[in-house]
Amino acid sequence: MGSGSVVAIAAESDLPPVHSRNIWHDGPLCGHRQQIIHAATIGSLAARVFQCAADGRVAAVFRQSFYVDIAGSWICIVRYGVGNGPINVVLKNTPGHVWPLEIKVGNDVQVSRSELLVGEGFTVHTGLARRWSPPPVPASSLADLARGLNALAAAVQGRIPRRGLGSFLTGSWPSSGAPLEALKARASVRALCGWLWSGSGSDLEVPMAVSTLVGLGPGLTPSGDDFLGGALIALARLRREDLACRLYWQIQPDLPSRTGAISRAHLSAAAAGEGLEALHAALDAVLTGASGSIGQRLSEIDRIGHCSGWDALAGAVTVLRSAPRIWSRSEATVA
Amino acid sequence: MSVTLNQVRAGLFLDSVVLMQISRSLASVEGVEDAALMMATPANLDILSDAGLLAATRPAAGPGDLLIAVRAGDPASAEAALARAAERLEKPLVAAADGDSFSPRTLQGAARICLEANLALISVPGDFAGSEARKALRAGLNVMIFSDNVPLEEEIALKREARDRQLIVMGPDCGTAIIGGVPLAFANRVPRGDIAIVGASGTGIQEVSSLIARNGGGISHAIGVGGRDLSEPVAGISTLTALEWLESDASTAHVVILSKPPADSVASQILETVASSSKTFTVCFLGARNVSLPANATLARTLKGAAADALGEQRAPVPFDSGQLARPVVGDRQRICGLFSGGSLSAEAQVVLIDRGHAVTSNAPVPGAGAVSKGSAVHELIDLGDDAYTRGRPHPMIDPAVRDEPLIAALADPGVGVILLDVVIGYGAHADPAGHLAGLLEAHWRSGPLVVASVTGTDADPQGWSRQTSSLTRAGVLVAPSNADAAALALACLDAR
Repeated sequence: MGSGSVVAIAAESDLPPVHSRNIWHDGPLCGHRQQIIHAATIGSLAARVFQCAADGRVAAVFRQSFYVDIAGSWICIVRYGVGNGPINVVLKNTPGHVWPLEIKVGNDVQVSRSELLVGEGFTVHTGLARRWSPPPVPASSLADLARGLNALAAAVQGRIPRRGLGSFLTGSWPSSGAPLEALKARASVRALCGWLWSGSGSDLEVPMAVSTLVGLGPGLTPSGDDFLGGALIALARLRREDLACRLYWQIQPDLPSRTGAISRAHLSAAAAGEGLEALHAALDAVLTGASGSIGQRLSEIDRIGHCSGWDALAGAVTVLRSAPRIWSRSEATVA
Repeated sequence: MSVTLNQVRAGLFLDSVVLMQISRSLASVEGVEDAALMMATPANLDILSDAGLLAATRPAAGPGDLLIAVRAGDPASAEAALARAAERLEKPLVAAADGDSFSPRTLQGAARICLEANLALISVPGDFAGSEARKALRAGLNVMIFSDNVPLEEEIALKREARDRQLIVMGPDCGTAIIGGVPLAFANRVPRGDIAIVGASGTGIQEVSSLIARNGGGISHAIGVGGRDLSEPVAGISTLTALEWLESDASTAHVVILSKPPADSVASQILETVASSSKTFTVCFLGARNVSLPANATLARTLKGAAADALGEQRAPVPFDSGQLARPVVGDRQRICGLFSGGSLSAEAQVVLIDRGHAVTSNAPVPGAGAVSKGSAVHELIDLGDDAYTRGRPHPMIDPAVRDEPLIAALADPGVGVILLDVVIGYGAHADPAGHLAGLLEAHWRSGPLVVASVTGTDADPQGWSRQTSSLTRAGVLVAPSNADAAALALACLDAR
């Protein structure tokens, strides 16, 4: 067999290219038939939506996912391989269904205890789905964290997207030539850092300037929102849920007028200390100084949106850098 | 004087990657100075204002709306950009980079762009195939490993990971598959039908699928699981996955399983799965005898037998009368020298000879055959596609010249009575293997052994089965309708003296 060019071989065929086909079926199985797909995992917050029957609608459809608004609670149905998250329902890799699914914005949705029915033709079964929630906070110390931050600083060189707020990962402030959103964010991030460095147990109010990050920047979930989400999750990983609550209370009143519903759903989950699995993995690698795995974790971060993963990581790292001030000795050594 | 236009799409959500792609696409329109697609949050309206991308009259938009902003040197360019935005927004689900010219540099890059993709075909040298296959699995893709010389430990690890991810690894060392009617790598163009094949070898799948096609049947799917899949270490992981998935495939009524005789423990597991299936099966463990099968399965000794069983009595191939086509071997030549490009074709020919009471040796012997030994006086059937022959060289199906040297030697060997050959056509194979063979025979074949061959493929293949067969016949080759028939014909020629 060797290493001949199979691409060329495939090109000789006048048959449809294989990537346009499901591996087993040469077209959507669904047609006008009911399509039933089992969920592989369900995020802890998404699971709450299934606790009682309710109606809703499909609010957004993307290439690998669709969002459902159930009486104000948003959950995201994603194809297998996209990754776990607090509001995600990850579908099984089921032979016979083709993605993208025939689902449209505005389709009616009905939720029961273990099913989500979309329109008349598509059902997600969640009865056998494994519940996903973030892993327990790992044992760590300031020395571990310092090692992790150093490894991260080296690993991000040359990888940070130009757009968004990832440049805050470098530890230096964005200057001329940086994207506008990064320049705009400087004052807010400075205010956030000042508040964090004011120390553990500080009664200082969260500065108003932090709120100006909300809705700032490119992307479906603006970079500023992702940054704040990362910061909230990192505070929870440092066992400073009290500070996370105060930060969220500061921004929460402005959210409806300053950012979109999808972003609000993710921020609400972040306030509970929960984010995408890839972000938790990256954070924990830094937290525990697992320098050997940080490169791989960054590859996973890179797969989150256009720059959302990097924005969230930047927010989280901003918090982790302040750990010496907000992380008490006992918290730093107990798993 | 620049012109700034804004357009609001209320409540339209697009994922970030698509937003960036469309932004770049608009910025590339001639005459456009800057462009952006952003969620119309207050903070972003400020950014757009600072960038000179907000029209004098602020658009009425909320934080859940999408704002398209364009600044151009003239109104026509700005309008052209908005028109492009409208066009791209019409088909956000298929938006893929910037046009069709995008060439991903990595497998992960391709997976991100081709979201409909669910299979990656890996064709890199064997030492590197494992890491590429692993990347594909982690991107949620099923994998076909076209490469050979993949270490066994790597194959096991990949197949276990695939199973855990509810995916399948096809191959390695089996470069054939037909998925949903689409031939992959070395495969033949055959009609769709209700017969599926799960095979450990590529040429075995090709022979059976081609025989089924040439006799009026069709293939639902053909899954090449790899030559070692049914060995004890690999434990039939991909075969079991394939059988499980085919069980739920409505287009498949009957399944053919092809392999060398598997390890006992693996055979038990496979046959348990067969027994619990609602489908019917033909099991062809080439060279195996006395296999105890469940009621819904029958045993075939040869590939031809497997095709005939799968087709059923009404469509079974017409029996081949080897005596009618046989010609007597000249002189005291006693041996058959088989030079095969397909491992399963070599194995099938060994089975045919053994079943007729002949001693056989091979570099890939089936049960009952011996290993090749220099100076042996018995029939010798060589698999030239074996890893030992293909490391660093093209497979003989791609480059038939790999067979030239041993063929010239066999033509000159006074002990060889019949040279037995396979000619495999289809996608991926040489453009005219029969023509190459005919040219070599014309140059080197003066007298001596007879040459017997068969052509594996169909008339729908690029090389055309009939054309290839005619080329061989014109060159003086005795052409049988199947590989098993060719082996029988070779024996008939020896017996005809």
